Amino acid sequence: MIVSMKNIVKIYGDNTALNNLNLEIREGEVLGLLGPNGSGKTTAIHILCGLIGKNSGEVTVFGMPQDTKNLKTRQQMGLVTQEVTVFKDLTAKENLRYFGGLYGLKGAELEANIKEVLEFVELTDRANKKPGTFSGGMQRRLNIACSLVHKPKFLIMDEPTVAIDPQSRNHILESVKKIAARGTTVLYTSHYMEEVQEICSRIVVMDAGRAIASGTVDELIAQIQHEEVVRLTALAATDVLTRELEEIAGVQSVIVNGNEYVIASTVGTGNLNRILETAQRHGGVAGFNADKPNLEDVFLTLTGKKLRDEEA
Amino acid sequence: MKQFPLVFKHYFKRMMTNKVALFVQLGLPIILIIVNLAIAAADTDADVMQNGYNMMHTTIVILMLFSFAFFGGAWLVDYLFPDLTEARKFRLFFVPIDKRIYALAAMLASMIVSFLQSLLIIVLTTVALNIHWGDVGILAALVVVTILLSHFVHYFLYLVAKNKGQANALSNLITFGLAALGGLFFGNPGDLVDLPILNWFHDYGTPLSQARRSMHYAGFVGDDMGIAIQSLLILLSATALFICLTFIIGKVKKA
Repeated sequence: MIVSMKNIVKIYGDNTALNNLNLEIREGEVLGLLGPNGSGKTTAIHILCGLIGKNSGEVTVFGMPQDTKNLKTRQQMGLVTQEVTVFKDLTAKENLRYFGGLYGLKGAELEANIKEVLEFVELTDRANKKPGTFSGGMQRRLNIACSLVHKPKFLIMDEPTVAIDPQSRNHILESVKKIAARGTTVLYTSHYMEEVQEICSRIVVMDAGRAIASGTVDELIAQIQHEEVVRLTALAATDVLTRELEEIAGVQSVIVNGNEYVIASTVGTGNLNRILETAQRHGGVAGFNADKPNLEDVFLTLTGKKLRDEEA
Repeated sequence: MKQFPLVFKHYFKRMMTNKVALFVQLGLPIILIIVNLAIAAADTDADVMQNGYNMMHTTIVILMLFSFAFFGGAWLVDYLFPDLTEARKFRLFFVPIDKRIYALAAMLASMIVSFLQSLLIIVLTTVALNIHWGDVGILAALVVVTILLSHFVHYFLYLVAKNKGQANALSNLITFGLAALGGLFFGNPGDLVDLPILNWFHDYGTPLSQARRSMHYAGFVGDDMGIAIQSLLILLSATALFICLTFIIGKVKKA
């Protein structure tokens, strides 16, 4: 276990930002942290990074207690900030040299890391240029490079793809996969459900300052899914077809509306093939659709909010 | 502490390569000194010669030197806000270095830049404009104390202001206000408006007034080292006051 947050409470005036938050991050995983605006994600990250204190609870990182004074844990951590926070008046290489130096790197080791990380974010040809001349996506990549130059074991990425073009977003997502493949543990927050679904091995959903669900995408879907639904358009709707569909093991209900059939089965029965075979035997199938909830549905069910509702 | 030299070098380099700041800090005072001395040279009736030196010229250069030394801290605010208060703070506070050490290293870099500015003014005016600076020890002490005072005043503003705009507005009010009261722009403002307090400010009530008083008594007006040291101590006391204030405000803000 790289991170353990137990019963974390953080109060700002009358507002309880974190209400007994419990969160664990396992070594080597890419954990997605999802939550609507105001759910406490940023506060949780700031406490985890030791940037702000907490009212109560216990945080350990690499087995050491984390607080605002513990600088040792940060040596092995990297933070990719939501905004681009590189120095615009320094070149890409100078930025990397400075941030690497702040983590105690120097000499040949620092230069080797700079070379490696520039190659990693594909900015080698821009090494001696100032970020002001970069596109938004390139600035984001440099921002990530500055967090990687000291080769952290644990990387926190706070919405690193906000307001960038699809090409740069794909580049960043691929980078996260490569970072994870090297064994780095990643905590990733995003407003983009498809990103989290694509790169995260486990997801924690936060709302009102608490973690309300966690698991893989399939596990989270299973938590909210009570039945599997197949929508089928038969070429010829008959009472025999309806009856035979109702008789399939695990089918809970069949609703008929003209040629349209809505067939609900118990989760895990895998009835799709049997339903299609039955319909084929009784005149054929004009079309079908097997509804499967996605992460967006999970989020909506658990929090009652759409993730991007308040983004604008 | 081992990253202190790195942070110091980082800010020193950025400050020394900031062309606008360099012009304002190094070029502008030299230009203003040359222009003011050229104007003064045209009015030889106003010349006051003492010990073979033109006191009018000396006074002009003293005013410029200490005014710009007191402006020096304003540049620090321009670096502290974006780095330690706005978005970049999350990255910089996250690195494994004590943020007070970080701010101190940035402040020291700014002080050294201010000191180099003062040194350049002194050397250039001595070599090229035949300015006599009087007691070198008092001069050096006054420059150092004025730079220290300026930086702690501005660090105090950084701590109490809500944002960079507010800090800059307060900085301008204080630096330009005190410079005007001290006689930089219009001579003694008490000559323009009949208010005794304005005379007091011109003679004693600003860092510029005390630095000028100390310089005059150390090298020119009757050589009274006691008065020179008294003014130096007043500036030192003001500096100590602002060091204490920044310490207290820093503690309160942290809590």
